Amino acid sequence: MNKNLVFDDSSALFALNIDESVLSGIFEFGDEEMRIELCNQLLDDYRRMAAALDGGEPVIVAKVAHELKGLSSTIGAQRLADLAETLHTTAERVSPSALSVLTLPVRQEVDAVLSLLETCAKAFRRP
Amino acid sequence: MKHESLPSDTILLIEDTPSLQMIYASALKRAGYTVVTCGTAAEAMAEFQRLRAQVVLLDLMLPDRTGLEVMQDFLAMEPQTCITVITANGSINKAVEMMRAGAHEFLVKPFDDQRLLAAVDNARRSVRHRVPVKPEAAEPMVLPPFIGRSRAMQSVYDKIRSVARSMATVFITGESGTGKELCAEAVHKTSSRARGPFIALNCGAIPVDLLESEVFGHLRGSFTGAISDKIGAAAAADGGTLFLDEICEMDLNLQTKLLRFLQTSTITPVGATKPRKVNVRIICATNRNPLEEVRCGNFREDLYYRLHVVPIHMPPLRVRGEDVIEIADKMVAKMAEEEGHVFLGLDPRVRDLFRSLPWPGNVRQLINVLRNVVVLNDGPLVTPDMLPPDLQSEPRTERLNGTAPPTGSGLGDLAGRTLAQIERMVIEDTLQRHGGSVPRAARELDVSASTIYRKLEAWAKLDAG
Repeated sequence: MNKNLVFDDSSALFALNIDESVLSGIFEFGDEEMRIELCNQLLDDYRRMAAALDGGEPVIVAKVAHELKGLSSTIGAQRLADLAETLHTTAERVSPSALSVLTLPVRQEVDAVLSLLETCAKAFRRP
Repeated sequence: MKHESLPSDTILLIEDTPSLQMIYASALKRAGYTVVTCGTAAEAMAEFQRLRAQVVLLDLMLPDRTGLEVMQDFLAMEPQTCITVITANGSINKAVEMMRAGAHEFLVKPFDDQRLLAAVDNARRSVRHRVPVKPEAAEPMVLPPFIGRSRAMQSVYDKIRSVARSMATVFITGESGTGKELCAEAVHKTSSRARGPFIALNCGAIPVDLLESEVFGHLRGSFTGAISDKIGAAAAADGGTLFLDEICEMDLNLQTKLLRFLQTSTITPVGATKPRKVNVRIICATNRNPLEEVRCGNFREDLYYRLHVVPIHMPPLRVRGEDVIEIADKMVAKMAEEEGHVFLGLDPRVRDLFRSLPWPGNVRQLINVLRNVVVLNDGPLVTPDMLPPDLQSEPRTERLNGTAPPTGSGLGDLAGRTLAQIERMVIEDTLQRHGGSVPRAARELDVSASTIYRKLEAWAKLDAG
C-alpha cells in the first residue's frame, strides 16, 4: 500500500488519535482487492454502528459500544475505543438525556473515523 | 456423536463483527492457514459439526448465544478441541471463567497479527500432543508423586487432571511445605508439554537487580558483569513450563515486563533490541494471599487476573486427615531403604501424636522429622522416644480446623543467650513483622535473601533433630 496516498494528512490522524501504523499494518494483510473489501466493510460496520447509536435505545447502545470498543482498538482508533468503553459501562444506567450527552462525543469520533476511512477508500480506488 | 470424516486442520473463526472477522481471517490466511468464518452461534455449530475443527477462535459475545454456551457444546462433542477465546478489554473475568470451563487460551482485543498467530500456533501444537480421552478408564485415587487420598487432595488431583489439557495459567497457593512445586511439576507432567522442559525459578531467592536477567536472559556486555550471553528461564522453558515460585516477591517493574510477556508471548533479553517469540506455559505460586497483595499495592491487579486463571490451593497437612499417616508410612519405608536401616512402620502412639499435631511446616516438616528419626535410630517401629523433644511439646490442634497455630513472638530477653540464638530470634522476628516475606526481611537486615533461606533450612534440620 502506498501510505502517502492515504495518510498524507497526518494532522487529521493526530486529531483523531489514530495510530497510523496499526491501520496501515492491517491494510497490508492482503492484496489490493482485500484492502478495498476491508475498507468497504469497515465503512459498512461503522455506519451500522452509527445508526444504532442514533437510535438511542440503551440496551442496543451498550451492545454497539462494546462492539465499537473492540473494533476501534483493533484499527488503532484508541480515543474512540476509550469513549466507547465509557459508553458501554454507563449506557444502561443513565437517563435518556444523559445517554444522548454521553453518545454525542462517540458519534463525533465515529464520524471522524468514517471520514478517514472514506479517504482511504478513495485512495485505494485510484489507478 | 459419530463422525464419518477425520478432524480438520481448518481454523474455525467465530466473530460477529464482520470487519474484525475479515482482519483476523486475512492475517491467518496470509500465514498459510485455511480459515472458515462464522458470525453467529448457529452458523458456528453447523460448521463445527461439518468440519470437526480442532482449533477454534471464539468471540465471547455473539448475537444469538454466549461464547461460554457455544464452547461447552463444542467440548461436549469433541473434548480434544482447542478453543481460544477472543474478548474485549474489560471482560477479563469472563475470559477467566471460560478458561476454567475448558478454553485453551484467551486473546484480549486489541491484539496484533503476531499474537494471533502465536495463539493459533500454540493451539495447533497442543492438539498434536494431546492424547485421546479414554472415558471408560476410571481415574486413580492418587496422582503420583503425591501421597494421600483425603478429600482435600482429591480436589487438587481433579484440578490438576482437568487443567492438564489446557494452556491456562495455574496459580498455586498454600502454606510453606504443602507441596506447591510438586503440584506445578504434576501439572507439567500430566500436560501435553510433559516432554518439554520444566523450569522452576524462585522469585524471592534472587536479588531484584538480577531477576529480570534470570527470567528473560541477557546479552554479553549489556551490564557490568554480563560476561557472556545468558538464556533466561523463559527461553529455557520454550516448549514446556515455567514455574515462578513466590511470585508475590517479584518487583513491580518486572511485573510489568512479565505482563507484557504474557500478552505477547515474546521476550526481550536485557540488552537485546529484537523480541523473540517463545511458547511457554506459566505456573506460579505463593504462600501469601495474592488478592491481599493486590490490595496493598504490592502486586499488579492486571497481572493477577492474567495469572489467576486456574487457582489450585494446596491444603495444609493438618486438614488432610489420614494422609499424614500414609505419607509417614511411605516415607519411613523409603528412607529406611535409603539409609540401610530396618523400619516396619509407626508405633500406634506416634500415629496418634502425628494425627494431633498442627504441623506448621506441613509435609516438609513431617519429612524432616522422619529423616532425622530414620538416620539416628534403628527400628523396627518409630516410637515416641525417637521423635525430637520439641515436636512432642508442640501445641495440639483440633483436627480439620484449618488454622495455623500462632508462631514466634518478639525479641524477649537476650541476656544469657548465644549469638546464634539471638541471630535466629532477630531473623524470625523480622520475618514475622514482614508477614513471612524473606526478601523484605533480607532488605531490612541488609543481608541477601539466600542467606536467610540457608539459615531457615539449617534451623528446620536442627529442629527436626
